[in-house]
Amino acid sequence: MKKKIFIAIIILTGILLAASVIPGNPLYNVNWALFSPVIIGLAMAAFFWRFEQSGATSKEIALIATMAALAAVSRIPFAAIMSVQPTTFIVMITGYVFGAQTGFMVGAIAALVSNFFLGQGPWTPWQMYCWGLCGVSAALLARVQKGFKLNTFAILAGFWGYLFGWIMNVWHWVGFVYPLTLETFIATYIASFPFDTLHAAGNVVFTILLGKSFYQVLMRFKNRLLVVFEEVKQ
Amino acid sequence: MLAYREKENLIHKLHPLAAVAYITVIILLALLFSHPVYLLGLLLAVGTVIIASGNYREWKPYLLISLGLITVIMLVNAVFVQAGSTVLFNGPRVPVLGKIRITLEAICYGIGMGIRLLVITSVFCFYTYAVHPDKVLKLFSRFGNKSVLAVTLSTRLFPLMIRDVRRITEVQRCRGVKLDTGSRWQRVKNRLPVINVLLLSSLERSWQMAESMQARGYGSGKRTCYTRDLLRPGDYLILFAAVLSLITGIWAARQGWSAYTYYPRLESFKLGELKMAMIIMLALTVPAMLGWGWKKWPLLKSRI
Amino acid sequence: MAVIKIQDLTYYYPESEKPALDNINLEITGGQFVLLVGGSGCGKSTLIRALSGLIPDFYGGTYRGKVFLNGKEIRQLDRRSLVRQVGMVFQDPESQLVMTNVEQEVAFGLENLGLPNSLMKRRVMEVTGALALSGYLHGFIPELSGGQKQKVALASVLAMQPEILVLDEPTSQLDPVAGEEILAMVRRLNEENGITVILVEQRLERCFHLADRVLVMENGRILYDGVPESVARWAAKNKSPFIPPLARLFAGVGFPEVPLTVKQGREILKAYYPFPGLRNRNPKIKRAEAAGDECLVDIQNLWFTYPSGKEALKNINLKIRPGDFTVIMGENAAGKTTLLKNITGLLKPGRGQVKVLNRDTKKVSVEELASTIGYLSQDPNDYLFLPTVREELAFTLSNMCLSDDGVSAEILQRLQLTSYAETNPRDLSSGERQRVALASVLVARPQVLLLDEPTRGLDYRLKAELGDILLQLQAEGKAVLVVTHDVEFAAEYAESIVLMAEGTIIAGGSKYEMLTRSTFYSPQISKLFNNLVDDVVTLEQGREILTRLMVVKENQVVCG
Repeated sequence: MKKKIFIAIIILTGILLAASVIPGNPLYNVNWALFSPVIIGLAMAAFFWRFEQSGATSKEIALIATMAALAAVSRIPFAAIMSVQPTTFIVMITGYVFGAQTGFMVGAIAALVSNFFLGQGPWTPWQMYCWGLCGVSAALLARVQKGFKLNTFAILAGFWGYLFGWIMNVWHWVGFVYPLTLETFIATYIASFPFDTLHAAGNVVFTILLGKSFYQVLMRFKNRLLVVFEEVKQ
Repeated sequence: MLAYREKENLIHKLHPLAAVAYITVIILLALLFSHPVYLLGLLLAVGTVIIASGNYREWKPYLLISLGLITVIMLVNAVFVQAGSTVLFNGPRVPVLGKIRITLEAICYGIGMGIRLLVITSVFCFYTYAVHPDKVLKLFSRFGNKSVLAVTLSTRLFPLMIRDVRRITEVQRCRGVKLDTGSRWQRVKNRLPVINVLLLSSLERSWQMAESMQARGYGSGKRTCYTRDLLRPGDYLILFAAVLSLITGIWAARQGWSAYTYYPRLESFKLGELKMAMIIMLALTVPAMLGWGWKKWPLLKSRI
Repeated sequence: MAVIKIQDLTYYYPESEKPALDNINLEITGGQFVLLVGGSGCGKSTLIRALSGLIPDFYGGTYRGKVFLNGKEIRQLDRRSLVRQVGMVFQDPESQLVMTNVEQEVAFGLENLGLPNSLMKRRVMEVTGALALSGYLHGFIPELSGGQKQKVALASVLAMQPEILVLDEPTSQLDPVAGEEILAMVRRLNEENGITVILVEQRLERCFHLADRVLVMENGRILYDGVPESVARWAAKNKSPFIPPLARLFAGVGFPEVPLTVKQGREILKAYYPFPGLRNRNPKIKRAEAAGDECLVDIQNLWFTYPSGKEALKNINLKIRPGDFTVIMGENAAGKTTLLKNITGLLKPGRGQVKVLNRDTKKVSVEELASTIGYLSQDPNDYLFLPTVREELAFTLSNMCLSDDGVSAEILQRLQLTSYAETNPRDLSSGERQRVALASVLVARPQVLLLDEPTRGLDYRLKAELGDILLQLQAEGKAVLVVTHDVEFAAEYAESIVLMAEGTIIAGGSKYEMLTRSTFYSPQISKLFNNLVDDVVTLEQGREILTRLMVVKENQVVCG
């Protein structure tokens, strides 16, 4: 059920975005700059709304807040080493263990909160959305396989290095470049390619180095969250 | 710690609703308009408000970063967009892209979009430095207390964990972990104990936090929302100004006045269509005017 | 009438074979001040969590028996009315505050109860006024001090107006002044507002006499239950360490009266005054200067200023020699931690120099110094991330490129960790974790050991164990340097004391000079004998004097 809703949201976002570039429908050629943030906003609102509806307990909220802060803070020790940060990895492994809902919230909140301290910008909602989706995709991966498989996780993490940059490029491209032709599109993407490659490499490296241990620690914690108590009557 | 710093002026004391409405209107209008004069009007309005809020110093780095981005935008537009008709420079033929042709229109488009970017980054700068994150979160907690609580808790944990990272790094260095020698791979590897310790300690803390929330009755039923923010006449004025400029802006957009045709040839400015830009700009400088008045005339202080 | 009644309560944590609570039966009358004492893992935290309903709702596990609050079974109560009756303050202020600003933190519980805004405003105003928090109502919580945070935590619980206030070692993470303030507030709440208080605490010298009733727990059972005086006598007879040092001293030598405070103790002693010929043999332990003037650490004219412009250390001169056991004391922000960091090489001197084994720290990296200087930070968790204790030790060795020549086995043996070698350190109790962290430092065989607030959160038994380990190290010729607020610990184990204030060394010397004749920086024993017998610092000295006094008294009785 949940999975369907997530997929529906992602597909709908895609369709809406596509509709505005394919001629011959009412959405064609709308003000892209205005249109794309609205769509992102709606998609995120849907996720947040679902979270509100869920019966999240104090333990889950504390966990989400903790993992989000951890993901945001984890940039710091690596700041001295350019462009390497485990944030994406941490968001993904959280989603992988705790599911799509938690994964999305952790990603989105990590972006929002770190920007409270580093400065908010027009990039904030896009980062929230991208990291949120990282968490969701990892959760979907966890559904199709059992346990922690390094290879598939690393591939997904590496893929996200590029996808993240590509989505971030969209706001840049649609907001400030005109006309929206294939050439300008490709140019924007080529410009970001080296950065995206570094990001992807970083994700893969952290998956290899931290994947197993993070998975075990989080699984252990997850088991602790599932409270069972029995009352023995005399 | 927080980027936000409390300052003694009216703008810092605004009701979060007024501040958020103001910021939202500016973002919407900036994305709606493409006419450079309209965008410039917005920029002037935001600029005066930032200066009135005493955050000029904080604004400067934003301006510098934006200028860098703008240069990139202008270059991308100038080099890759072949649309304009006033050719300034005919370059060589490059594979994939074809013949390089730099046109006046493309450069102007770049400038126009640059102003748009400036407006947006400036308004975010305003948000970062002049609106307390707590107040905004409080505003949103009416709509969703769980997500807002998670965000608040995370905001509280962030500085705490930065301190943890520093301490753990020191401890591990005293244990002989070499952070600054060896290859890049080695350095990444040597930093892992810090992240691992942080994960384990933070999870333990998250359990205790949850316990403390539980012990104070979190999740025991429907929550209410504590608030002590009062709407003052100044807040109403700013709300009104924001709504007014939004309506004017939409109307101008429907008239086609706020749009501008860059290609194939720059359109000439029609004065009649620009008067709305003036109105919007004036309406959006209301917070700045109130702020200055508040400082200058003690009487006004007590009235708004 | 009993507000709390516990009937045959037995509880097991999930996946645990050993009961954390073993058939507890207890009644507590309204308005009592109950102190709950016992070693770590004795079940006291579990018991108070059972009162606040966190067990079993939050923890899970196996639960048998009944807890009644005002005659109603706790499992039949809904959460809201339970929370309104029992308020709970936890150990670590950092991990119980959830909001970013003081006002909202105080309102948090009220929001959860669904109270109307007008009532919340009133409660917030009242409680912040009463606890003197009004000044920083809009303060950003991460910027407050530990004591202020704990006050906010207390306020947020009191705002809900509980009848019963449960506190789980509320002062263990605070410095003595802030801890004192919290306890004073709790006492006032009990005396002036009639709130029932159940306090779990380790530093008994501050709160033992406040209690109406003391419960001693061990292995999930209540061993003894009575008024403080009778508990003191019982504990002395049964060699239980969970009584304040003064009471332990008097009861330990079999003195007829057992005082709980310095004031009472001096009253008792005055009856024996003047002490006939009782001059304390001043134990001037002249350390063998055999080591010559070989210096492990030599600090000369050290000045240090942080990049922010704060001058943290001013003209420090200090030598650390083999076999030293020095304690650095002083207020918060006196520069103690900065000094430690200058010795470890984490910070480099601005002016002057720090020499470790005759090498200037400016020219040596922290990592190289690490094998000479061992450093144990306040929070042992900062060390622990590997799946077993053995690997933690091996990690340190491999960092320093040392081979394991049986040293890990030896250290584990010495710190009584051998049986935990294959255990995950995160599954151990806080005292054991500290020993693991210490082991992971000692395994490199450092010649100097620096410890930052090592007694924080430890009970008397664990403190004594730590003290003995440090004494052993000292005897082996290692130098030990401890930063602490804990005067009792310093008095018992240190050899010399250094007092710091505002970045300078105010005074330094043997503990017999430094810790006597002072109103604040002296242990209870010195305060007891102040102006009666000179230079008394350790429990051992006190015991000797009291024994002699008893002999004198007997003789008098016989002669008279």
